[in-house]
Amino acid sequence: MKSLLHVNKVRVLSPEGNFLSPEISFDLGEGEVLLLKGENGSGKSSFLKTLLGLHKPFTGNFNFEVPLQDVQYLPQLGNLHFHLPLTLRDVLNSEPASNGLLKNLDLNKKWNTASGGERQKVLLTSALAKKPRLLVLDEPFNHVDQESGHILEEALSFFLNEHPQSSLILVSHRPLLSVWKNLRSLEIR
Amino acid sequence: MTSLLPLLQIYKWSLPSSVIMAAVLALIGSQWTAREKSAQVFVLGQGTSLGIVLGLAVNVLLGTDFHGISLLIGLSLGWITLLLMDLLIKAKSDRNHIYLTLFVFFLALTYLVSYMTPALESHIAASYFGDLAVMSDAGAIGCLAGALLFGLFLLSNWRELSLRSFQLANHSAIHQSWKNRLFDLGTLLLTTMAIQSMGYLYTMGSLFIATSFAASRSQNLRSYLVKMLLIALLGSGFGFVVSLQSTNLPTVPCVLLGQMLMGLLLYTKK
Repeated sequence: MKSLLHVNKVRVLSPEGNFLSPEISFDLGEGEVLLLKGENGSGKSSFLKTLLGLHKPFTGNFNFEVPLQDVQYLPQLGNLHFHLPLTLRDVLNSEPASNGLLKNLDLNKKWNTASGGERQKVLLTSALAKKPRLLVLDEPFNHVDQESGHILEEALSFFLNEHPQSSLILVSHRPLLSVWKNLRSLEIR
Repeated sequence: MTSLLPLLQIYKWSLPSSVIMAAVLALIGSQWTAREKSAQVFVLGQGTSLGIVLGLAVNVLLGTDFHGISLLIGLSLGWITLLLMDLLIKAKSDRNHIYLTLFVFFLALTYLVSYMTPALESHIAASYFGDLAVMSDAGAIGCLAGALLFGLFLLSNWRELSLRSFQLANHSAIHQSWKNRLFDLGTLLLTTMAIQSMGYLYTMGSLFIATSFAASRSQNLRSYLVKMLLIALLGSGFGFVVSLQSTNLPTVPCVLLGQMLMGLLLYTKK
């Protein structure tokens, strides 16, 4: 199994040098799903941001075996009120996919008035349309009702089955409902 | 109307230049606002103003009249300001008051330079409040060419740049983008050129007025773009022509009030 990401003793630091996460090490291979678990404040999101170059101070090292262009990232869905009047179709930026995520969705709705579930479905569709080798999702089921969460999970599972060379790193507090192949968990504390 | 035509002949470069520049600045301002960086642009403008005033002071001290010095120092100081903000301030949660402190620092330095160089007094007023009517033909043509080129780039990449702004606001921009680098570079160049030839007030006003009125009432990106262009182009043109009706009417406030009037009209029209 080809390795996509090698992480060696990475520890996230604050700009002042304080530790924001414990030391984290793992290897992620093709087709694997890595579920990062841990309590609030354990540093899961900061760790993902560090891997993706969005957070700088850290110790240890890591290495992507795929170009960053083949990585897609969805951060935690906050309550982003965007200044420009983007519609869901604008955010989608690609032809609607046939994975059912966009079923019954009004793509002409403005981002600022869309629900958490609608936003997350569009963002995930857009990310999957790029056929990433590595998908990094931070709490994708937050602000999403149970039914929408299940649809998101099914779409992810379907994508990984269709693209066995792609992998997923997932932070989630909610237990996964679908049956995932090659699923590993890593507790961060 | 007959008396207006000779006036328009006199302002054959400054009128189109200031109208087109207003539209391009509006497009730039909307993306920076979407990136939650309007305070940064405000400081960038003041840093650039200081550089331009320093360039004027150098010209006075050397007894030369080389406008390129002002542009060069303005660009350099603007670039250093941008770098300083990106590397040291941007990540801080309490950055807004640091931006304001930096703004006041640049303003104080600008005043200091002008106070120590009395010959600059009239130039300082021009560089701050601007007067489109006295813009040189060379300055106007340069601004018009720069604005047209960058405007074409912005319009042809409007959607992509808007999505980039979305990613930046959403803290999910993980891929490099040369178009975004070009956008940053063009912003620096255009705002410096605008401040040098048209003044700080005109530049800041044109950056933010149109987007303030157009953003909330637009249904999608396309209608927003159309509204922005209408506010900037028609408002500026109207304000400029009104200012020509009397020598007591300064150009820049009229242009900015024209933009606000047009913005208000479009805002109230659902």
